[in-house]
Amino acid sequence: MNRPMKTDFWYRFSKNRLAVAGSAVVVLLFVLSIFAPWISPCDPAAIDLKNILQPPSAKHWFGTDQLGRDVLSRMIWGAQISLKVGFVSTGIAIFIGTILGALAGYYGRWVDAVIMRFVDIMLCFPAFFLILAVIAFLEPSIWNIMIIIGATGWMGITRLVRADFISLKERDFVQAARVIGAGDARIIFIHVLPNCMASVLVAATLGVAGAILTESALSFLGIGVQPPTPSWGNILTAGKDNIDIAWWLSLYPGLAILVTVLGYNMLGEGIRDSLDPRLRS
Amino acid sequence: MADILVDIRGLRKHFPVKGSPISGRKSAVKAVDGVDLAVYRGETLGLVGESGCGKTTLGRLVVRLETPTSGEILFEGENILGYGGEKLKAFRREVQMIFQDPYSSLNPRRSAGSTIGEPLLVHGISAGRERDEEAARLMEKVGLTREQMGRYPHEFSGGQRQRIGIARALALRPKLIIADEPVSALDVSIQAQILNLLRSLQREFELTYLFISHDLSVVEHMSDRVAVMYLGKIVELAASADLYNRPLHPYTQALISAIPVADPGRMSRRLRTRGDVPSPIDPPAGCAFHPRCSRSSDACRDAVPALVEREKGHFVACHLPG
Repeated sequence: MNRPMKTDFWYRFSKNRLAVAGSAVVVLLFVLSIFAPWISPCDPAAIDLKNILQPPSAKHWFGTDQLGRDVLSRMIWGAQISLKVGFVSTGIAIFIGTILGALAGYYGRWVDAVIMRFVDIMLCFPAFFLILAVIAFLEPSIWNIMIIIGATGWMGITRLVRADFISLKERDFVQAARVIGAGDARIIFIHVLPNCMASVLVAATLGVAGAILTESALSFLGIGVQPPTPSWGNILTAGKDNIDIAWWLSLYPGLAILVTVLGYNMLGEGIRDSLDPRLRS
Repeated sequence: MADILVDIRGLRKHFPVKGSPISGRKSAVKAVDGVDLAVYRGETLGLVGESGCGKTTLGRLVVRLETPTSGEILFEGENILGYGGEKLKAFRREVQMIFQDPYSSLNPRRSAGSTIGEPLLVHGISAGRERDEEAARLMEKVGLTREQMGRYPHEFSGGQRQRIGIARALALRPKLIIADEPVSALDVSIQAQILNLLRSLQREFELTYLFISHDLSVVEHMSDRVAVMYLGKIVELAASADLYNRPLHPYTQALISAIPVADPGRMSRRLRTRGDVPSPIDPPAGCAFHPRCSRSSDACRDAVPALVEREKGHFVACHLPG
């Protein structure tokens, strides 16, 4: 905390090859998603029944699916969905997690006890089955998916923020804020919270990876993003049905998920190690 | 008689400790255990004692960072312990604190200027450019330059950071400043600068200091009167010169004999104490110092000595002073 944080951070981060590779993947995905309408070679929804399940060729780099749609275009549009799901649901998780963690850590006593027992209860459910159960009652739209993934993924962040608050609130600068007459809200939001954003950022980056994976799994099971909207998960479903005759339908979206999740994980771990090299395991 | 600014009466602070799971008996750390102390307007009252004696807790009680178990703190004749809400906020303008560790007392994510200006913002005293101007003036008062306002704590040295902490304490123009070991974390050459700054600010702003330290030489240099604390109690209180020349309590005598003398020709006669400081959870009966005292008697084991005025202005809590 006492050294010039920013320059040290970028120096260590740039020396970490995995982290740089991870951020390259993340940047590439951003570019693909933002420019999807211009980059994708075909209309992702254009059905061409004369050319179904075509293997990769010069015209269709990643082949075509069971309705003759271009897999590459569908994957580029699918990246947009993945990114949206990843960020929105992680945003929801951070919002809930940070507020509850701040309250638990700052006020302690019964507030802490109630919130942390609630966290324990939420953690008791296998997250995926909880999501499945909730979706059974709701329409499986992309927005519902995001909300559900976010609403079942905030517990880790709550614990992190709570732990940071417990240690930070005893620090002298927080005591000093109290002595000058600052109120609880000011102490929480101006003095303590900005100082635990580093660990939240790391958790968020790793959370995005988890959310993307969950969305793919849900879409694969047919209860996530609904066709015809393309998503890596539902392309995989089509791939499963035709795996003996069309390997490209399974391989490319599978690789995309793998590389994306790996990229986010490497980025998150890179940020963590660069923020505080002592944490390196 | 001089004007009393703060009058502490029978102040106790016990921190509960988890009781034994078998007997269920609850115990408590008696950090401050019955302190009576008056601070006069305009003076520097030194508070010395070894670590764990409760001097920091006493300071934190006076600024209302802790709530006492029992007792009263009168500030300008009014008991501050009942204060809440707006009254507490108004009290905050009168009493400020300087912290020990300049590395942890400043928010690493806020610039020097915003840290110093924050009290003015919180109390709605000034805003915008006016507040920046006041913060700049305060920075110059404590020996920094206004160009350094936009810098962050990690860009300052320990001594400079302590100056920022002092400027923050001054911003509200308080009457009393609790200085909790303000120089212990600094190296010796910087200590003198900060101490001199504190003294000149005291003259300029008519401040009263409660100066807490374990360093006897620093306290002697700074204080008009000195109170010695041992296991949550004041054991001796006297004018500075009086206390250092003729300490009456055996604990004070031992402390003063332990001050290093920078003269190899003069062998200092160390008065030694036996053993360690007893646990404040279960302090010895009678005089808390008796197990370590060279002249303890039966009375010391049985009765707690009261803090009585043995000579004019010289208070001692000992059955066998001298």
